[in-house]
Amino acid sequence: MALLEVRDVAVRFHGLTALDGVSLSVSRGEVVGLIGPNGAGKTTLFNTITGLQHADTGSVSFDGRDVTAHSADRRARAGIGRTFQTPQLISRLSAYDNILLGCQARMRNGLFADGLRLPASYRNEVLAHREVDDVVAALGLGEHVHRGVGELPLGVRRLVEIARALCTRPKLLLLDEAASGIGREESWQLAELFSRIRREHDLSMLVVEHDVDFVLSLCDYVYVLDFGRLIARGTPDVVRTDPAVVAAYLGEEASSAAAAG
Amino acid sequence: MSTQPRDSVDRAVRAALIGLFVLAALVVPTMLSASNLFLLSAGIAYAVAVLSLVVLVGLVGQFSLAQAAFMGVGALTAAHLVNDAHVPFLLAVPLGGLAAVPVGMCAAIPALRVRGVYLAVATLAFGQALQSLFFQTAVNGGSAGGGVPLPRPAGLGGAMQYYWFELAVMLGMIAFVCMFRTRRAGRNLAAVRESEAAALSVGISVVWAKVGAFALSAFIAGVAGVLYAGLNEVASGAAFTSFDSIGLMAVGVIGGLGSAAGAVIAGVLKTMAPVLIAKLPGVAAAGDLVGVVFGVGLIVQMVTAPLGIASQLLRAEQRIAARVRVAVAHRRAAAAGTLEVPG
Repeated sequence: MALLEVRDVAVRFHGLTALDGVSLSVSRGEVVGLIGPNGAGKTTLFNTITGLQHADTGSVSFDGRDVTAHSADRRARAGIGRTFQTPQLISRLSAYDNILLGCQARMRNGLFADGLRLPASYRNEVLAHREVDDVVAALGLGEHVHRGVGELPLGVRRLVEIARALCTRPKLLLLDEAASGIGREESWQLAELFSRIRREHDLSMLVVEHDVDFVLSLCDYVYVLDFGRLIARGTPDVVRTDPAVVAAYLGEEASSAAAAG
Repeated sequence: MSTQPRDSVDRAVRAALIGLFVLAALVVPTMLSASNLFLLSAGIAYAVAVLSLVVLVGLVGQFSLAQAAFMGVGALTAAHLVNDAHVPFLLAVPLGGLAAVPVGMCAAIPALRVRGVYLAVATLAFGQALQSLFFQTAVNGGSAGGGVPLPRPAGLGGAMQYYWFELAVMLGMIAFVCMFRTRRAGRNLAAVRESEAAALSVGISVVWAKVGAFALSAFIAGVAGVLYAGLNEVASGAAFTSFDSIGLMAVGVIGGLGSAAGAVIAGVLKTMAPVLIAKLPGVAAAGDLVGVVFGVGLIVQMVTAPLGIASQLLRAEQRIAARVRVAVAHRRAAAAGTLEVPG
């Protein structure tokens, strides 16, 4: 059975249909891509899966459970980790403490233990620091982690967010446009990192990306969204030559070429 | 804005400043007149009340205009416990705080749905409802504001003794807040304050973070209420009105709701500023001028430091630390027998 099953999800904003009967599944260990032009509904679908967005109809099951009615934090604790298109880092915390946030839900020290500095507080903090140190080393973030997040370039902020998500020990990692706004070279390093994460951590990934080549090179299976509907699905080779996909992207390229011209 | 010291120089400067503050807190009251010592003691109680706002506004980004109502619940509960049930005063202090906790959790309910000005109005209404429904009942002293007696025990009977007690309670509360804010509980609140989406994405319950912050805030405010009532030896609902809640928020913003230092500044300012202003030449003669000078001073302060006096203090601290670093570097260079810049 698939790890993630999205069935017939529809989301409407004030009469505008953002998602229209979208179904999608991610199997264990699989890397699935989600592509589509701007405004296709990719981030809305992410938000529906993670619970930030309520689905008007349809259902989401994760790890054998219907989580449609579960809150976003509960879904995160069940093993759905994510990053954001615009990194959501906490500016008053250091990069290191931002990554520590990923461990918070598994830590057991509460307000009283922390406020009175009881041994439980110390014990949990030390364990969490060890986990963070490992992830920081694995992602090569060493030199950056003790700086404020405001001083970090976008690419590093994205890595900090990925590190934070990995610290939640996700079964499924949702990556929202991790390669946008960074250089070509950096984005290929990121693709390599994703393959490594997949090998070293036992997890599945759902990758939203604007850059088609990036997704097609990385994923086992690809869904294509356009105007809130799935217009194609299949292996990268199939999707690459699908007429509907070519039309959607050619249409966009033609219009952006026209806008540029 | 981070208020956490970063290296050994920062830590030394912070320790020196805290040492200076504790020294002042120990020496200054011995030089005050009885009436000014009373005002300073009231200021300490208010500082604890503003600390409850630091937790709520500074740490988790919520808003409350019900803090005086939490103080009232704490004060009246403690007074009934001591006066009617003969519970020891020292036990009644935390129990008063605990009594405010469920009330604070109820006040958190609107915070789960609305924010900003709507939350301000909702909490204001909540505090006003408590004031009208409970504080003015006959058992709580009636609408005339008679209140419930809250006698202090023998060891805390004297004004100076009670000041030491309040100071100890305040420092304990501040230590608690400063201890948890750099650990898991504090990071939870910081995440919820800045990005609920990020907090949710790592499995932090935003609901519990807010409810927990309101609960802790109400506890601290409840204790502040007991301290204030103990100072007056009477718990009167008339001292904990919505207007008092607004006043606490106002001085809190001026002191700085980002740190415990801001709470201390705010509380002391609230009661001592009029006294200090009255000492200014020319002001004493015309009594009405005190309010005017205070008001203008507050406006000037808000314009020059919107983040509060504590933020100015923090900048001064950083300047001192920078100078210490330069001095240390010079001394090291001299000890090494050279003043040349390495390179």
